[in-house]
Amino acid sequence: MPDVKLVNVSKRFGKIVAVDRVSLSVHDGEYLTLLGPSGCGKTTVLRIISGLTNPDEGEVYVGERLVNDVPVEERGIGFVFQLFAVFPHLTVWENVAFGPRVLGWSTERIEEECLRVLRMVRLENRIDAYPNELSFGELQKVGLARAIATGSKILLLDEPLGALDAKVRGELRLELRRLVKDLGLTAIHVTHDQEEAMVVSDRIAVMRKGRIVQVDTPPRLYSHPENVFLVNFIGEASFLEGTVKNAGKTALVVEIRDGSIIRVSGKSFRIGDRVVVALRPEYVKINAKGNVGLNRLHGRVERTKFVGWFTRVEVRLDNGDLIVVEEPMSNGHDFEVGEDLALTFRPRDALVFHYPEEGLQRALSLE
Amino acid sequence: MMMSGFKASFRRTLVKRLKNSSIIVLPFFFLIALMPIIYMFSYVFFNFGEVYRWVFNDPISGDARWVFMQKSILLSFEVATLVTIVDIIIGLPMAWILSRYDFWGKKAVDTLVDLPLAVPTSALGFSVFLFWGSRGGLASLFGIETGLFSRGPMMIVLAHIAFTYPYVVRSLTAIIEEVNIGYEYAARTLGASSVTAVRTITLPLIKPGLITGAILAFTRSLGETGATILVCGIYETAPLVIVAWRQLLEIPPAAFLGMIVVAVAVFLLYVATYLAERWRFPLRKVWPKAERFLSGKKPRSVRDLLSTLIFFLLVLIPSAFTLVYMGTWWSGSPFTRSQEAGVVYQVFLAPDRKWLSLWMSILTSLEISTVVTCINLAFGIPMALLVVRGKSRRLRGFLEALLNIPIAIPSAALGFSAYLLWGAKGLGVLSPGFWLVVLVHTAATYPYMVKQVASVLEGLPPMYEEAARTLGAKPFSVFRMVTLPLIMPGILAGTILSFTRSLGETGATIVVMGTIRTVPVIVVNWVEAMALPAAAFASVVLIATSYVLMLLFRHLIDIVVTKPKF
Repeated sequence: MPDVKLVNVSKRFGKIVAVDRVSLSVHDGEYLTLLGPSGCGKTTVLRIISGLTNPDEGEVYVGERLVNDVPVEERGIGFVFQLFAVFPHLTVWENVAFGPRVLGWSTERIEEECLRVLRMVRLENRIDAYPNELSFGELQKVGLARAIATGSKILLLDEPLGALDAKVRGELRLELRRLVKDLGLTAIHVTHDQEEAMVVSDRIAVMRKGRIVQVDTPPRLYSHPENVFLVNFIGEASFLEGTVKNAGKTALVVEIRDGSIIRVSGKSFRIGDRVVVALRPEYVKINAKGNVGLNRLHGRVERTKFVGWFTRVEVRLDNGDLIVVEEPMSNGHDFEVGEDLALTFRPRDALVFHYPEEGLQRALSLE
Repeated sequence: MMMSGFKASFRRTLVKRLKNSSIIVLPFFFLIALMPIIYMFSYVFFNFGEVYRWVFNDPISGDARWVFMQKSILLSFEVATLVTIVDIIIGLPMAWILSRYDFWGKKAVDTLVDLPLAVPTSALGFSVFLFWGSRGGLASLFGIETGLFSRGPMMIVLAHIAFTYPYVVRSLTAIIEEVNIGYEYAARTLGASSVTAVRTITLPLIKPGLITGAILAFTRSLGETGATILVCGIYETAPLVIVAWRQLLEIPPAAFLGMIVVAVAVFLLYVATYLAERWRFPLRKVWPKAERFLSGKKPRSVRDLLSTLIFFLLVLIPSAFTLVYMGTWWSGSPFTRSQEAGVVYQVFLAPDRKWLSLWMSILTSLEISTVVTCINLAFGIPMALLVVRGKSRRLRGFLEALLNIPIAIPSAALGFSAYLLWGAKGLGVLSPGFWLVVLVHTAATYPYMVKQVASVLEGLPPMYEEAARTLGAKPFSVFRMVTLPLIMPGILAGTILSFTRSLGETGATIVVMGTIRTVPVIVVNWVEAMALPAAAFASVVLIATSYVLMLLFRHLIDIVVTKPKF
């Protein structure tokens, strides 16, 4: 029953609260990613699960067992390190055989098991190589093979692809997921790369300032973020500040900064509430002039960037807010700086949030 | 215009000089360190008939000198081996505590470990003798009248442990701190208990530090004279025999013994280094249960307590015991109350005016050490550049190997060979006295300067100098404005080492000093004359001088390292 559960776990380093009352459960066989900006406490959470760091408060369960007082080496949890930590004085084979050997397995079993995992990561031809003869990608494969050779059913990965080239990273993350799924492991993967998290995980737990902000599947995290930080951190968005003028059951009328009115979908808001409306670039359309739409915003092109199959256009609205639009190449529109544009979007495509107490800038910041 | 033109041409010559520094530096090193040794070998070879008569076929004593020689060599190597082994056993846990734990008072312990380095060895040997061998020392706790040990091999080992311990601990802490602790974490996530992880992962990774520390301890113990002379009693190590025969002017057998000692030491150095690099820690076996037990809390606290106790008992208190002794004997004997046995009377009031000779010897010691350090600075920095940046890889390796020779061989042998070459028996250029002492001290301390500077230079990424070049700096400006400030910590460390080493050097000094006296020699003389309280005073003066200078240089390092100036 290799599921992992954290209950109200906290950890302080001096005055800094690295992990603040985190509760999380990871199901048997699940691939979960801890995603967050650097310094958010995600690595500390991982180290607490492994036993390398002891929490100040809270409980850690593996299966049904409380493991707070179980030392690292008796937890049987595989750990993959960002900088590999492949023992430099041992060969690939000796590295992979290290775990089975300290567990006191028989020689035959060690041989069999090590060869099996080395085949899995396709390093069976490099068993006599020393770490300084390997590429970074190969080193991390050794790290991975070593972690699973002991037969542990839980795999912790601390930015396992962080030190690799973009290309290798792309290949290895798919291999990683395939391996975890083939072996039926429970994996917890720490990263700050949201694209990596999206591709590799069953669920993502987003962390910020030592806390878990939201745990959800990648598509739901993108379409139903619970606060403005998440909208900005997962994907991209432009923000309009405003006040609710009229609130229906599912529809709102919001007055934005220069007094224009927009309509958006949203529940649980009341008249007079301060809100932030977030617009994803791909949902904002450029409206041919004169066409009357429901939500019309006026502005001038401030900057354009040709990205490839679309052009990224930054439009400064008449009220001073900035909206980013992604316009597909196929629409054949050439944008000039200073050009007048009208923008439109559908009410249900906008995401509406209460205006954060700490202010919008602070709520969005990665710190 | 004129001025800048002159400056430019001056710089150009300097650059050339620096580039061609090998023309000056290599002959210098050859002349001061290698040629005397070569000369000693050739002396034995060409005068073998005479050597043979002295050593193997003396009309009165027959081959007694040969037998004595063998005994002394054997004793030297036995002591050095035992000292090295004990050092590693007691030094490794201490190094571990200092580099891996954080505890209250860690900084203080860290400084105390270095203390024996600041104590010149003759002062230290005297202190160790007082602690273990006098009735005022440890024996007074047990009410024994004579002291716990008498002078001899046991006390030599105790004295050598006290001054070699810091070398082992320092080499080990340096590398333990450097080894990525992630490897240990990785081992533990794979199921290894902390003892297993350390034994199979960390220990092999710190092997280079272990080798460096062991070689340092071994060679220091092998060549030491100042402390040994005071604690050896009727036993004599090989360097002491060289010193004694030189004083009796029995030159041929001294040269023969010097040759053997040098040959064996150099041979051992290279063979030991070669073998140690190829030796792998046996990793095959694991004992999960036993090592899991040892990883527990209790065995660990026992280990920590024991290594701290041993450090205090074997190293720290014996090194600093002179202070206690001087305090109790300050105004008179604590036993008879006789004032004439006190420090004050012996040093300041007695008719032989010991304070005057002490004062003269302090001046002499400081003069010698200053001149030696200046020479080392002038010739050591270009040599370091050559060792690290030299064009051919072979030359670099060769130079490094040569630089180890003066470190590996006993300084008494080095001093004796210089006496042979430059003195009346050889070229007849320098007779024993101030300049010959300077020459010998330079030969013995030069490698330390070069190694300190070279190690910093090696760790210096080329990007800073490259950046300076791309910004338009000429090679010499790069050296002056970028390289020199960046290697300043190494230069200062080398200065400390060469100064304190020269200040404390005893064996080589006695061999070539002629009529001048340095402080360590004064200490030895007074102990031999049984003026122990006076010797204690001279020791404390020597320690204080050495310590104040060390603090001063450390302070300088702090200033330079935190605020680089251009």
